[in-house]
Amino acid sequence: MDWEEGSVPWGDGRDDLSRRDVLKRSFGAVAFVCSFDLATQARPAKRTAAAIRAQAGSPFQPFRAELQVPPTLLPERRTRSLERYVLDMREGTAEVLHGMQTPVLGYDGLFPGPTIRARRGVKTEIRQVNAAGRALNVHLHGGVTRPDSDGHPHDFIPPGDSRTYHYDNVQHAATLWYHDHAHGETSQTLFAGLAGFYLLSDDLESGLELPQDEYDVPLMIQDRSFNADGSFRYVLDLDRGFRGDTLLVNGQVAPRMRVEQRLYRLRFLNASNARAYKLRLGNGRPMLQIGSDGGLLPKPIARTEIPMEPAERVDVLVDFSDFGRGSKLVLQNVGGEASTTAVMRFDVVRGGAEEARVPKRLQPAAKLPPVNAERTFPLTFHGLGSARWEISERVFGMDRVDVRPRRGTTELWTFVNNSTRMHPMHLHGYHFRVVSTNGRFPHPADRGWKDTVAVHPNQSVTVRPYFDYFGGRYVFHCHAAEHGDMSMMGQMEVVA
Amino acid sequence: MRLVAAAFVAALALPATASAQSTHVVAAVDTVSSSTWNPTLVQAEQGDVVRWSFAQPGNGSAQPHNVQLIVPGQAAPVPLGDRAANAPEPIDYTAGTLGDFRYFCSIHAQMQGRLQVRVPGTSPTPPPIETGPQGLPNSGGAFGNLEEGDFRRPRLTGVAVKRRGAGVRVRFRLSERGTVTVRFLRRGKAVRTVRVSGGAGTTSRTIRGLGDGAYRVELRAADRAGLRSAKRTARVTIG
Repeated sequence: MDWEEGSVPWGDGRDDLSRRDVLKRSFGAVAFVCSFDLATQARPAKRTAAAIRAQAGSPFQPFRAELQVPPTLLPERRTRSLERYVLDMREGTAEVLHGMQTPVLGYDGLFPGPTIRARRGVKTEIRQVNAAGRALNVHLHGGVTRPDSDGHPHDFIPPGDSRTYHYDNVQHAATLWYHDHAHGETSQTLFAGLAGFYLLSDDLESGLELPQDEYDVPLMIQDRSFNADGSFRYVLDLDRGFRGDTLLVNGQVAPRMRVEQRLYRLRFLNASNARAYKLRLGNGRPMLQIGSDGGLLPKPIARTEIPMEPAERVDVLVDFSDFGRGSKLVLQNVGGEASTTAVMRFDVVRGGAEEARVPKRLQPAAKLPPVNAERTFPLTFHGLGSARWEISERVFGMDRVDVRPRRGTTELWTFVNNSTRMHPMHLHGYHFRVVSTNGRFPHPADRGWKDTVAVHPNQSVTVRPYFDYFGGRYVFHCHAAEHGDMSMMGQMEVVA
Repeated sequence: MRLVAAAFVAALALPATASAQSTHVVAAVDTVSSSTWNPTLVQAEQGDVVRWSFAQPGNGSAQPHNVQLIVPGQAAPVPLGDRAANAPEPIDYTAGTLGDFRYFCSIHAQMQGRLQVRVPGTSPTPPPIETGPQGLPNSGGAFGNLEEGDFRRPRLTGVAVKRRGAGVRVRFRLSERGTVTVRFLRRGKAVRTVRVSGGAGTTSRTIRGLGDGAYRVELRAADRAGLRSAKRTARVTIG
């Protein structure tokens, strides 16, 4: 590969408050809401034999659970141009900790929700039944959807009611996900379990001979904390957002996955409320990134460390035939605390004949129409008198439209982070290209279509959204769920 | 310090019933090092009274506090009042609006709580997502090595394929014990595959029974862990 890790300024803990900041902010005359939990400071993971033995009986013991892949939802009805599904949003239980049942809110009561596999050109309809006892809605994250099916936070399904979402699937193949977007409550509903994969394929992708079926594995990474009875424990932290002390992949505590000695496609999704990860395989084995939020990159990019902010997706190819039978590789979260370092483990077993290959080229970059407008959005924390997060010094206003881009144009949006926290900024309905980060080119793996971009403290990031398909009213917001809820969200109306 | 706080909580014996028009008491719990509300989750019916109390018995080191209430859908909190240290008067609030409120003290950032107001006569939202009474912290994280196993591919070198009488002698050198798969191709078509085991070092084997013709020979080694070497090729002509 023509690019070297380390040459690009990537997130390395800049999100952390310094001790001085903490003191300044908590003892000053500033109303500042945060849980003041200093226990999240990084400690090296304990690796002594005694420490491992001591943990053997713990419900948090890593690599005990076998990785579960969420079931693929079967359509209730299927024609050549339409697939129709039904999902119940309801309570359920999941065995997240060994031997315990955790109450969850899930799609069909499952945590994570079932995977929907869709194909470009074939429409999807999902009737969502709200049996959860609270107002909910559904956002297809990364989906190019009509505004009335987008899951605008005020467009909710009352308890006991249902609603059919229509997805036209006009976009290219991509790893999307669906989750709740209830106004001011997303941090809780997402935390309670309302999230699932929506994997969109197309002909171009199918022609690439990428790994398929059981060798194409969606991996939802989340952090949680627990109560003594095994239930999820949520502690509001408006400042840094929720940080749990345990990592889950597809709802299992740091599971192990048996992989054959062959090529795999791993689709990582950070579905955490606010925690960022930095993924590294073993001691830094290369992973070949082929896709980001909006679909396939122009060509594969070899990476040894992959940062993932909330809501971001990264598709990689890993060739496990590089590793001997019986070998074990830990996927680690670099810079995590002791209990949030191990993400999962790959246990290599004998493989059959290889059918997949690594393509040299993936998807050519599309030409964009010229820039029609430039806008700047300062991101700030407002602490005086009340506590809230703001875009352009404003909180979300349901009746206020902040920007009116023209359909069919591109714009340059610059997010300027004037706060001490990282903000993963997300646009509904459209994708963008990252143009620059502090005036520098983005990482090559971030040059494809994106819908969520990390804006680190004191950084300014310029993106170029393309308002390509549908017009109408959508939101854009910070995807650190607590920030978006309170109330770091704006509205755009894309006009003809 | 945690234990001290827990003892205060136990001594308070707060009313926990949620019948109509009831009063829900939220007590400030001050210790030398921290201040918290107890409880941090109040589930009330519309019309109930929420009472924040400060210098109740047992709270010997009562601090100055205020109560800020965040009303659902509004970003700016509503100040409900403030109290000096050891102030005896509580702050009362009648829950008129439905929804999910948050309350906090802006002087002590860690003093945060949630108030859920529901329609009278309905049951409270089930709590999969609430802060429960007792945490189960994950103090672990021990997980052995980041990598273990065989990550070294075998090296296949010194490949020589020569005609020996009626047969063909295949020679190669292996970096570790393994099996070499030898394929004979004639006019692009595989006509014979032979597997030859060998230890570290040089191995040679004579293969008979090939018909006359020009062969392309492909060799690839696999070690005991199934790791494969790079492919080597040679040519040999029989007859």
